[in-house]
Amino acid sequence: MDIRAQVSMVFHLDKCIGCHTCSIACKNIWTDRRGTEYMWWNNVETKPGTGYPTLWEDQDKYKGGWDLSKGKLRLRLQGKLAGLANIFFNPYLPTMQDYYEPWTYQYEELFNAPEGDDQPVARPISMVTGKPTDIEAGPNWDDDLGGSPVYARNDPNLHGLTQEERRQLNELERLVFFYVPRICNHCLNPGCVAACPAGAIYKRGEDGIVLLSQEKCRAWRMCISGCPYKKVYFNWATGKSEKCILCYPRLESGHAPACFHVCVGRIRYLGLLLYDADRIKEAASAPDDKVLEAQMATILDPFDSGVIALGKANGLSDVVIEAAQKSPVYKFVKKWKIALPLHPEFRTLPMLFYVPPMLPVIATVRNGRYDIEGAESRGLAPLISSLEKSRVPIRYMANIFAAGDEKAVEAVYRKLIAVRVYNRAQRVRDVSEVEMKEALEQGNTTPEEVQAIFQLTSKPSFEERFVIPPLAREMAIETTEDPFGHKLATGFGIRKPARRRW
Amino acid sequence: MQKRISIILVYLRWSIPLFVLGLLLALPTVSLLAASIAQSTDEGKALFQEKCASCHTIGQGDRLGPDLKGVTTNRERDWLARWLLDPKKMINEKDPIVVELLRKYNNIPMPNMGLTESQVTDLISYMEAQDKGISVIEKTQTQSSPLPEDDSATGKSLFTGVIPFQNSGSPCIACHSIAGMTGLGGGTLGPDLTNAYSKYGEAGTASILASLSFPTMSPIYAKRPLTPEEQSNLKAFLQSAAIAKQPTQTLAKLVILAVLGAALLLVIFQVLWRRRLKEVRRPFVSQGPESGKTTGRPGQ
Repeated sequence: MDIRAQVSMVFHLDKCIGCHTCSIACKNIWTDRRGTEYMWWNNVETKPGTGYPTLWEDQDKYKGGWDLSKGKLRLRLQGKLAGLANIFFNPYLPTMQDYYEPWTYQYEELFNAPEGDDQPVARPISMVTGKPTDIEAGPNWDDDLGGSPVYARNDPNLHGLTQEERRQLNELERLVFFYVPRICNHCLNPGCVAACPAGAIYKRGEDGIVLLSQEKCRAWRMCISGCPYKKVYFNWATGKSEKCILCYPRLESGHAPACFHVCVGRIRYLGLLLYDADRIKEAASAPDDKVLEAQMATILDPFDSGVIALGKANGLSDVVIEAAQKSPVYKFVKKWKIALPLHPEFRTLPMLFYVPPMLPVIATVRNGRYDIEGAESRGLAPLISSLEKSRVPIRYMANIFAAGDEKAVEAVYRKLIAVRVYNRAQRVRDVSEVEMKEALEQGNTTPEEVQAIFQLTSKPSFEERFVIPPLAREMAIETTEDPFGHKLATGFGIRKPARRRW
Repeated sequence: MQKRISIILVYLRWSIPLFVLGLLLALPTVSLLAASIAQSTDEGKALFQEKCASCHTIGQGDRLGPDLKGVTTNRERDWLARWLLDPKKMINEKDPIVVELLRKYNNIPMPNMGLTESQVTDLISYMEAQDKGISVIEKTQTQSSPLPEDDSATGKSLFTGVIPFQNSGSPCIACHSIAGMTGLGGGTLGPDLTNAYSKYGEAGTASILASLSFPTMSPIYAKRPLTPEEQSNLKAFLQSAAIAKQPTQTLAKLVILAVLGAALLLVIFQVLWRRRLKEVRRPFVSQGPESGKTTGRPGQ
């Protein structure tokens, strides 16, 4: 047992309103520099949709993450030999067109245009060529199902769905979608770290944040392919790759990361998880149907006296253990089991978990009336408790959050439905006692647990959402470096700019 | 440590331009030195032997250039001095005498021998002395020694450097190309020598090989002359090359090779990386909504 602490995250998708405030906060703080125009360390995607970069989930194309070859874990991108052969040309890099051509607008035209009959307009200007451009794509081009006949229907997660189910997803008046905000997952078994030939990417031992050294990076760009979530971006101006740093300077001073802090829907939770580093390899090489379960098994119970003792022996301080016990992430992921990782089948063991959104039920418009199926016989019950009549098939959610394991997703939904039915019964009182008990039973839960879930979902305080322990960087640094050696030497930004510049 | 390496790198980076600069400064100094030595020895005679004798005789008939017997009486002294100082300038000026001479001597221009004004004076006074009858009959080196049998195969080996020159001069191929060379042919600093033999004739070729006094060549071969045996072998080789008469087309060959090589590389890359990631978004966007995997269409 090698017990470590990881700063982990939960995004509660039921609360996400798709406002992109997180993306903008991140952009303004970290990626408004030259060379980072197309970078969105945080982005919000509409599902069904193809995301950013386009079709990033399709690893047949992008070769990200890991797969099993004869039971052995290996990078999908390439082995060591192919890595050497391809070192000067990584054949699986996304092109600029798979992201988008960054653009700005000729705003000065609005003020400088000569007097005329027409209103002046600000034309879009490509930031690559500097010439007027026709915008073809953007970081959220298929937002709110924009262009859905093209984008939504090419969503890789639709595989395994029947034609009827696909038709339902696309039909007018019955369109359905939800948002998936994405940042770096700070995985336990990161593909980017494994793919980097320069050893520039590392996972901080004390808090699990995955960082990319701007001094060691040699621009091979294997990390961009290696990461199945396409969350490493190449900065063309510095010749270095960059990625989400989980706002570690903020974390180290006790603040939540910017995207967490600004979140309008308050969907984001941050806290510690204790995990067993010795079990990572075993979990990542579990067979396809067991990979989700195996990942959950690496996460340990911070209340277990054995875990606490071993953790302390491994250098975890009392405050860290205490923070792990208070962690909202632990509650969502392990205690209540209602948060799932994004695409566990990529085998990177992502440490960002999602509470899947409640799905609307099937309804049809007849004679101008919105009819919920089954509503005639069972009143409102189908509206709040039906999983079978859900408009987004469970299969689809399982493809996204559970490596296709529909049972795992169903269990999560049963519990979420129980929370809903219980609260409806408590507050609106239009659900019968029998129905409520039935829902609790199906959800495998108790009124106490349901109340706790409701509390943390709907009414959490700031301190409940973000449980950030003192990261004690000053002590972590001393284990590897002499801080006095860097006195007056470190500042903000890149200390040694790349010699090569365009 | 890293700092020390970077300092060394900086030195390395500057060493090349400094080296070139040093060469540029050193070259004129060396030539000036050589000139003053020539002056201090026996005036014109030595100069004539060194610079002129490969193409000219005095009283022994035409070679590459005309026999210079009586030149001081036939030409004005001033004209001679100008010609010796800078022949190229006069050729460019289309001096009538020069035009006439060029026509007569196969359009082979006299190279600029890099003479100083005092050297020119020395040379002219030497030639004047010859014309006044104080003639010293001399035999040139090529005619004096008995030659071994010519061997064009050995000549070829000498030309290509397979057999090194005895006095360690660089092989001809370093700067010259010639018919019958394989691969990329020879160097391009000097002219193609395929037609050299027919251009200069036997006597001319022999005298050139004996002295190698072209301005570019003399710095190399003045101190490393070819032995008589080497000269005759090379001459035989040049003669056979002139008969074979396949002018080399180094540049054309090089271009063809480069194009073929590039094409081959492209084919190899195409095969090697045939499964590379091509564009993802545009292909399916350009298919449009009609050809998606689903059957359901909005608005039905």
